Amino acid sequence: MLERMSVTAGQSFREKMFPYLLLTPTIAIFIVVLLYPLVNGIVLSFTSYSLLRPNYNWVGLQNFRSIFSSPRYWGTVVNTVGIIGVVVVLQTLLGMSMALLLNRKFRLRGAARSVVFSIWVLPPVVVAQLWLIILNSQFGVLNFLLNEIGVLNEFLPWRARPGLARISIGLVFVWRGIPFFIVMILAALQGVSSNLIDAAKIDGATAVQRFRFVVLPTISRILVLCMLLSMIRLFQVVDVVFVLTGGGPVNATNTLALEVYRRAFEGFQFAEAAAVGVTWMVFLILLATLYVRQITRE
Amino acid sequence: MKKILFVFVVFCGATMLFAGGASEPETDGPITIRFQEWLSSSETSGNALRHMIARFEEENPGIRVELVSVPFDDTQQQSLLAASARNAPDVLQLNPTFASPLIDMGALVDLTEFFEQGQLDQIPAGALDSGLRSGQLFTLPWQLGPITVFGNVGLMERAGIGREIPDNVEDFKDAIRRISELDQGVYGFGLRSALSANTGFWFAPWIWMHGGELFDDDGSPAVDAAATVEALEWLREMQEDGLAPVAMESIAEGRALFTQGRIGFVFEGPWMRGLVRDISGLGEEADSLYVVGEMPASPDGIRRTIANDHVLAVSRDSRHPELAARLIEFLTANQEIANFYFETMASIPPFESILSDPLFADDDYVQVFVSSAEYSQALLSPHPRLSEALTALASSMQDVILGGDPRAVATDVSSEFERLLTD
Repeated sequence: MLERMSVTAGQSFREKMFPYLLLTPTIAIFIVVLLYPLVNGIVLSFTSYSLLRPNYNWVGLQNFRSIFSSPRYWGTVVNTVGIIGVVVVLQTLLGMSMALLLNRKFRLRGAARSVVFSIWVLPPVVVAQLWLIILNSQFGVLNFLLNEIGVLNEFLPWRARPGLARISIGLVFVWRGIPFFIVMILAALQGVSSNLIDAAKIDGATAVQRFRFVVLPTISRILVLCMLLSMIRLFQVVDVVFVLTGGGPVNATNTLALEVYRRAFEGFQFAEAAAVGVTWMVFLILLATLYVRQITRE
Repeated sequence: MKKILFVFVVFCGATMLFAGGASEPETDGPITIRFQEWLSSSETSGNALRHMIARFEEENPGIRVELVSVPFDDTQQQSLLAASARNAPDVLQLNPTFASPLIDMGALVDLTEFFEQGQLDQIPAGALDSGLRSGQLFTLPWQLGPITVFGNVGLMERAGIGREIPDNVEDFKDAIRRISELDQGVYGFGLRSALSANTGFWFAPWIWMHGGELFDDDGSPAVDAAATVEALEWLREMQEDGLAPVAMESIAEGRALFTQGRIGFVFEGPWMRGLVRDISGLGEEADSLYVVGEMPASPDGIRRTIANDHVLAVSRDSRHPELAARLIEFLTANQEIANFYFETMASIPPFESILSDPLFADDDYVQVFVSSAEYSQALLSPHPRLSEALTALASSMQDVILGGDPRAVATDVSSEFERLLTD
């Protein structure tokens, strides 16, 4: 009997451990690719590490004091929050308008949806290069068109003036992000009950009232999720801003993500970049928390 | 079945752990030298480079050269990362600003053991100095790149300036103004304004032309605020009075505008000959579109300019430094190769003995750069954070262009130089 018990206990232990063993490669990848860099980055932010001077030591909060006392850092935070805030609102409004339009039945609706969606699949660097040409102050199509139709009577330097540069970045972000909103909202609109719409029509509700009291409540959760996802994604964008303006002029379009890149790979000050990255991570954690709360809400 | 699965999982885990550490074994056959370069980024220069490498391999059958193409803008970053990871290619194409931090971190090999002093004495001091540290030489010039003034002949003649580049800064400014007055959309000078270290570097001649300094003889920051203010005030004037395009963000844009006859003067190097021929599509006929002259002198009569030299270095990670040095010698000191590189890319070699060839000696265009090379400065300071300081200078230029007070901006630049470049 004892023999039988010991055999059963051994098999049970192996059987219990086997699933964890199968998870080992995944856990190893998680630790190596995600957890270690994250912890290493946080630890690095408390050191003086620089690629130019590999010998480094612990400096505590010095990097954080340095960046928090830098006007450039706070300007970057304002740029990031400001640009993203405006862009997400515009993406939502324009995305919803176009989704409502593309939800109606008309000829070539499928082709129109495909054209809109094709913008989303373009690589970000290609998008940035495309807009670089469009926005060129000397040869760009935008200046030419606006002058031809009489909106402007001069060629504007879209990337060389702070205000115009922010508008340019915002324009590209909105253009690129709208398809995502359209796809998600279109999907949500399929869940709007046609019976409710018909009932509202019978009750005399106008189109605006039907949208406000029937459609919007149904799709509101998807809208909020889209906005949060878009914000999280925009917080991480480096490529478009890097190619279009490099964060200029005079840091007018510098974002937190680009600031991390510039400190790390232009200044080679990895510890300072890590410190900026930690503050950037705080913003992202806040957004991610809101997002998780939203998707797990009843 | 579970046992097989168990063994498979352990095998996968072990493979992942050890796969990254595997290194290629040495085999018999040609020795491979890795050469990091940016010439392959363009078709013309890439073809020229491949021809030169093919000739080297013909003369050295036991050596194979593997090109590692890295765009110019990424060179400093990639070189530093590779050097930190101790797997940098054998030979690196750099410029002095990129090379400086590599020298500082001990990532390059002393070349004096591979080159005789007699050879090195043939190279202009300004070009050689950028690679020297405490008597050791870490980079060898490959292509001299002193910056001079290119003038569009058509615009100069229409403005009544003639065919000579103005000799001093006041005449130069006057010429810029006269060209700008010719037509709308025509500018006297093409000024770079992108936020980059290169923009800051190319602003140094303007500060020198106004009698100012950025560094002392030891390379320590010594920003002459008064002269810098003057240079920045002139920069703002150029923008406000329409003497320069409002936003010449990219170098390519400036070159295109110059070739089209919309910019009177640009600062450029010897490569401009090939570029104008390409951009205009006129080939050698395009040589008549412009004249070249040395940098105008400052009020006290001193001529100074920067140099965008291309240099070559051997990485400390090279397993065959002597073969790497042989490649460098071939590329820099071989007459046939130097002549070929000049004919295809207007590249000016550093060695005096090679420059005495009639191909170079009888070419007035070349002689302007040879003269400028005598006093050009390829490296403003050996400090490893020089790039950041020059980016701060570029930012100050943008600030002034946008209406910032030159005095306040110059003071800020001075503080930034002190902060970044004083250990």
